[in-house]
Amino acid sequence: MAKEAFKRVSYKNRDILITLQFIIPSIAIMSIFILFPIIRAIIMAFQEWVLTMPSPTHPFIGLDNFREAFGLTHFPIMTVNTLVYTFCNVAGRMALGLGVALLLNQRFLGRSFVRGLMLIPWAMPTVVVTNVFRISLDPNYGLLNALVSKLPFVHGPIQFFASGPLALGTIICISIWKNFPFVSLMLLAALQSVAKDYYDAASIDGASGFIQFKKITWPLIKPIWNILAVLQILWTVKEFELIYLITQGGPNNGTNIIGIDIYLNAFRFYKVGVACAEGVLLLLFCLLFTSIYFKSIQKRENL
Amino acid sequence: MMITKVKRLISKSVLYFMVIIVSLAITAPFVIMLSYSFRSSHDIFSLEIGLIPKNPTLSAYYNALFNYKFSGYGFIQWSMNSIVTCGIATFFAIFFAAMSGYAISRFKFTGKWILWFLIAFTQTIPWVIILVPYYITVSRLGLVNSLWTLGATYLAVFLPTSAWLFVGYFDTIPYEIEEAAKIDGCSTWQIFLRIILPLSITSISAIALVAFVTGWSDYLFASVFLKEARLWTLPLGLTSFRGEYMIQWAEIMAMSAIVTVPIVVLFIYLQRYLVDMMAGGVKQ
Repeated sequence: MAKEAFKRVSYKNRDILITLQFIIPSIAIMSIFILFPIIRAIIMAFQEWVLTMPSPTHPFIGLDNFREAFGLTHFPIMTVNTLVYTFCNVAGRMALGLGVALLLNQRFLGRSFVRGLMLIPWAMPTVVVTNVFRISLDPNYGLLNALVSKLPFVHGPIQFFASGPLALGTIICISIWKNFPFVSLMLLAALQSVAKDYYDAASIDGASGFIQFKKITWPLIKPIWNILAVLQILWTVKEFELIYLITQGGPNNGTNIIGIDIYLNAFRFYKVGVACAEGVLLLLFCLLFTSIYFKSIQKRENL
Repeated sequence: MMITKVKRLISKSVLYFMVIIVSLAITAPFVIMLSYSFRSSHDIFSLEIGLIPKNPTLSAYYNALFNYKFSGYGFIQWSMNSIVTCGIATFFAIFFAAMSGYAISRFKFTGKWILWFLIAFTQTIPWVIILVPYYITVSRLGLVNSLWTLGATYLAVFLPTSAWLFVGYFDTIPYEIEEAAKIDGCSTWQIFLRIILPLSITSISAIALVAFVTGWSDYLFASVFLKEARLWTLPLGLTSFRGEYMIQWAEIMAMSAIVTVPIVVLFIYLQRYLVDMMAGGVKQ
């Protein structure tokens, strides 16, 4: 009796030991490199942190960093830019992503080839994308700019990155180009799991293509579409490289969004406290959408 | 009869027209990059040459590989830095991620939701927030300007996404194989190392590719940690012309092509696994 109980306990202990072996490396790495820095950033947002001032103690200063962030002259335009950038970008990606997914779900010659092409924007490093667009949109010798200049109602080469709104719009288009194929491919995977029988039945009943989409396709892929939209919002609002490598947030903060501003405040102006305060604001925004994301994904059963 | 035929012909032509437009739009920047890379530095600024260069030359590729230097260092050094740093980080990230992904998919243990939450949460947080306090700690320890620091950072960046994808993948493997192995007396580690990992080799390569490419194209972390041209990774090399008066665009485009083409080929080669993997990850 006692021996059996001992056996059971030791089995259990061994299970725990093996489980720990499997998960400890990940937990350690994520705690040191991710969890700890986030907590530290939140604390730093309430401390005095200016790297150009020699202050070894970093006293707590309440909400002063937040006040300074809100007081920045470019804070309003940066907030508007961030929201416009995120909203237009995600709307474009999701609409174009759905349209192209439906297109690629049709039968035509060379379908798998075109599906392969969809991986190109996804695979191209952001640095390369920014270089290509910088040269091809150059007013003096850019191939794309020359092409656009030939369109009706366009007078001469366009200075794409000279004014704020046009630069922001151009970067949004580039970002949509780079990211919509991912959305398309994910939606296409969902579309292909929709059973053909539904459509056959609908065709016999005489339902048109649009009715079929509205009544069959959309309800079935809507959950995935929603999850993708939330993920895209989370991945877009923190955009840094694409904008920084084209305009560095300029001209006149016209393309400055919060990710850029955090980077510039911390690593160019050394106002680390303000950067962390902005980081906390961004984190709050992300947490809001993360909770929506967690609600919309399937609950894992074996937790 | 005739009318339905005409109707079908019209809808087919509309379909093909749209497919062609979409394909052109998707590939345009890639094609433009190649177009510029096959020009001589003399022809690069000439608009008359058009998309297909009149006198195609490989001189830009030669120059990009051997002559393009920044503070004495060039493509070969930067690609070595990139390959070694991203390669080592990917190897460890994939191994640890597979372990924790397997644990989440198969084991029962208390506090599992914490690990799962941590992994899922990391998919959504902005790295730039982490970077600020992390950089301050690293610079206090005197570890800035080191590929080891960058590699360790990449390990942490790759790990959660890979684990997230591994959980989705392991959930699709049937239990029966492991049960049979268990009856044969295999330990958990033996099952994992000898059966599960070899079985998953294509999926592992797809996840590893995603991780590797994350580092291969990273500019944010590299720009903060690497100050000397000797230590630069490829993305930093590709932006080294910033602030220079004369930009050697042909060389930059050739370098971009060398950096991009292998990744595109691998993505297309592994596309089925990549797409299934990401779709599984997004859904869970």
